Amino acid sequence: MPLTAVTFHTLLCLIDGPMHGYAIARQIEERSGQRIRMGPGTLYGSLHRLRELDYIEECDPPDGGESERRRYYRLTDYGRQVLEAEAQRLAEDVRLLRSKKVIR
Amino acid sequence: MSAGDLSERLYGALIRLYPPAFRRRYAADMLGHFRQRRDELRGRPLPLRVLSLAAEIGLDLIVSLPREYLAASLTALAHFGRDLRLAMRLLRQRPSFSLTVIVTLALAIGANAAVFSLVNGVLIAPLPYREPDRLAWLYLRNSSTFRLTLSVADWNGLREQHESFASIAALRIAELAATGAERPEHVRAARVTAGFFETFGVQAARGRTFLEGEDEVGAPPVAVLGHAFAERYFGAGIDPIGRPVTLDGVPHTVVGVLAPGVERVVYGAEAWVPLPMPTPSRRGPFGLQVFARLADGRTLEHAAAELETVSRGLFTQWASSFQDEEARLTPYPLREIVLGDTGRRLALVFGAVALVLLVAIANVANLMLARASSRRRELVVRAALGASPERLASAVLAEGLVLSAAGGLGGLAIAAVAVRGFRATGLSVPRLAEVGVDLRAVAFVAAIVVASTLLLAAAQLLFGFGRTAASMGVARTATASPSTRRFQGSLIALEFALTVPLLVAAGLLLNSFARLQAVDPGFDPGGVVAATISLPEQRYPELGNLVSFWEQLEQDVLEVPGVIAVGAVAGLPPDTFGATNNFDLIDKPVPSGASQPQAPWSAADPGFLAALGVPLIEGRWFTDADADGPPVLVVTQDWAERYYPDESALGKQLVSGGCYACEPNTIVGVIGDLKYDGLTSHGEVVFEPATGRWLRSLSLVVRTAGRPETVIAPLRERLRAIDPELPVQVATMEERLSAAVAEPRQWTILLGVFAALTALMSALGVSGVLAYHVRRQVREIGVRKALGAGDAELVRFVVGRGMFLVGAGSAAGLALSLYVARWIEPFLFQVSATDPLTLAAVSGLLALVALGACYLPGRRAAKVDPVEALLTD
Repeated sequence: MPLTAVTFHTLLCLIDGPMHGYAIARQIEERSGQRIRMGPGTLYGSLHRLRELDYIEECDPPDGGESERRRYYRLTDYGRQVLEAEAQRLAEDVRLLRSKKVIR
Repeated sequence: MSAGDLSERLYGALIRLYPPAFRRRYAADMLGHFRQRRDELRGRPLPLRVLSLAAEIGLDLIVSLPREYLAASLTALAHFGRDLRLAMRLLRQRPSFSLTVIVTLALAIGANAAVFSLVNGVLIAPLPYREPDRLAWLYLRNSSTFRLTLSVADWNGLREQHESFASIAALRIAELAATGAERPEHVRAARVTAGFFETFGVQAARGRTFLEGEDEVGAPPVAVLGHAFAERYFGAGIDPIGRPVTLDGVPHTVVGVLAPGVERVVYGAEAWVPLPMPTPSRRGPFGLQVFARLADGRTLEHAAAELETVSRGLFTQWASSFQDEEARLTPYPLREIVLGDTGRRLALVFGAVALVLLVAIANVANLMLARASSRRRELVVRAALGASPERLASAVLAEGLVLSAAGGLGGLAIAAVAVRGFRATGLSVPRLAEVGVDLRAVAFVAAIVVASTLLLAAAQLLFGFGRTAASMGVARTATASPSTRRFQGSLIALEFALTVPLLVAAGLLLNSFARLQAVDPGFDPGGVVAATISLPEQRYPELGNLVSFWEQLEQDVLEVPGVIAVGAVAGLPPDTFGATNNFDLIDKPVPSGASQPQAPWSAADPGFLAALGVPLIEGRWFTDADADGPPVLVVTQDWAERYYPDESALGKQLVSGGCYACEPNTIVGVIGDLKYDGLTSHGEVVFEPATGRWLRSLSLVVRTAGRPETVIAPLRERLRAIDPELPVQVATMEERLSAAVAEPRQWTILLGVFAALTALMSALGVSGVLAYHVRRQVREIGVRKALGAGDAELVRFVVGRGMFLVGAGSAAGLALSLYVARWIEPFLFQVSATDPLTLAAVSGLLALVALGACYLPGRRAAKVDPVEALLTD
């Protein structure tokens, strides 16, 4: 089952290591070319559900982190598997598109 | 304050809109997020900055708020489902507790659902006619506010002028002998005008109702039948339309049959025949029930105004035979007449069951609090492990719901049985056949279940955990916190405060009922049988036929072994009306235009006085010679004392029914009082010799030396020998007397059962709470005992605590009783609603029961072994 854009991008952000909510939102905003913009309510609602799905988990801030106390998130093993599966699916799709010469 | 602070506060306030669990978790991060975003936008001009920040946040709220609330409610629902399963498991583990609670709730809810079904079927459900609120019942109300039925003269006057009414209809009650089927029977019938069914908006299920002109004098006889009677008469599956039914000896062609549900239209008749109106020669006699359907746009007030004009015209036209100028044709809402007193009665009973329910819930709350204290450790641990207040509430609500729902289901079953019982015992309520436990009753029970769930949960959440929910230290001692104990005490006091008014009401009704039964009916009922017989005109056309029938019957019945006296009378005491008549005393004429005196009027033959056992006070009773002699009357003592308080009534003369052309009647005797309008009525009756029209329908009164039941079969035999087609209604006078008090008896029993149930629950409640405290305080009791407290002292200690609560509650209850007294007053006979004897007796009885209930846990406290108590933890 394909992941939603927000889920996909959130998981993708966390592949590089733990991040806090605001950073995730900013990165997604940039990567999507300002198309996906998340306010605080939307962001934490979405993170909460990903946590309930066990895709991500809260963690301590990485060493030398900011003094500000905020929640950091990292990918779980399961979340990583989900992302990989999604990547596989996308790759299949891209291959299909190539073979049909839709893209090069 | 800087603009930054302000915007932060603003957003902080907005965050409060999110569901609590979400807010608690993410508020700080969201605020941080907001701050960062705000700082990012710092470079832009202020208005633009504010605008874009506001737009972003606004959009965010719109998108995320509904999503979070949906998610939160789904989570809560899932948790609640889990809590429900857990609650059911916990309750199964404690079957005696669960059963006690469920049975208590089921009894109370069942009583409420049953009474609700009555109220719903009788009072709330619309009458089964088209637009029943547009129907009126017309009476002649005279200046002394006495309600009289109408006469043919009134009917004719009405028929000529009734703009306020779309249609009017008249009915005369009739008992008709239905013969020609296997067994002759008396059928309750109604003679009605042709427009009767149309006025009520009732249609025939098969065939038709009456046509215009079918109620003219001389029209061929037709009949409309009720479904049940048609089946009895013709047999099931036979189409009666067009067949003849013999009523009072006359074959009537059946033109229509009503649907099974419509067994009764206003009056519980099973057969309807047309009512031809003779040309009246005077204003009376009365006896017509007249109904009207209001015309479109007209109200009862319009109708009353119009009837005022009609009444004036009638008075002028018939002034010679009816002197009451103030008498007015008056419209009453049909509903009011059909339901009468029932509304107030049912309201009282409904109030009573509501009290039963409150006491039951208080009791259950107390039981659960006692248990909550033992479950406290578990719940406190759960709270300490991070369960949110919502989760605790969910657990407590789930437990309440499981118990209440089980009680509700049980209650519905009890209600279904109870309603069937009401119908089987013939509870004196109009429209009883329409009563059942329906969807509305189910909805009512559902509402009770919800309310009970909330109350039980609230009691536990507010008082079950004290102020120490989070503190493990207190939980370890496992005794109820002081606030819990205070609340439990208040619940007990509340139960008694609610029980006392119920018991007082039941006590008053019982007292009143005892007095009603002690009323002297005015005759000696032992050994007396009465048989009511009507002679159809078809087979007994002449007066001579009637006279010889009764002579023959009395002679034959006198020969039956055991019979010592036989007589005949029109109507039967204590509550079967013969007739009412107006009269003028020759020596005390009423002023012109004032209302004439009236009295129950009956007729009897020479044998009646001895047969019923009524004492002769003064003068003489009728003799055979009175049948043809000058008109004579016999009056009762009450009558004589009312109209001739200072002199003898003997020899006084009066004009009967406004017939001034007739020879005046002379009073020749005074007999003991007889009641004709129920046992609570006055004893005024006027008797005339049973001659002429009276002979068409009389009750044979038979006095026997032994048991009256033994003569019923021979009596029927003799009657069959004279005329095998005549139906007869036989009952002993003892049965008639018992039936006369059936209604107050039923209401007294009903309220008595509820009161007893409540008292029992309250007693069990106080006993249970005390026992619980004794169990919890075994250690303290053990210490006291070790320190030398005697058994008696310990019993006193426990009983004293219980009786303090009982006393406080009962005192409040007595005050409440005085307040509700006025609702009971109308149902009492010879008893004041604040009767001190009843109040004292009820309080005393309740105190005794409570004392017994407190003594048992007291004994248990006394039996505590101090050594064991100190060793147990």
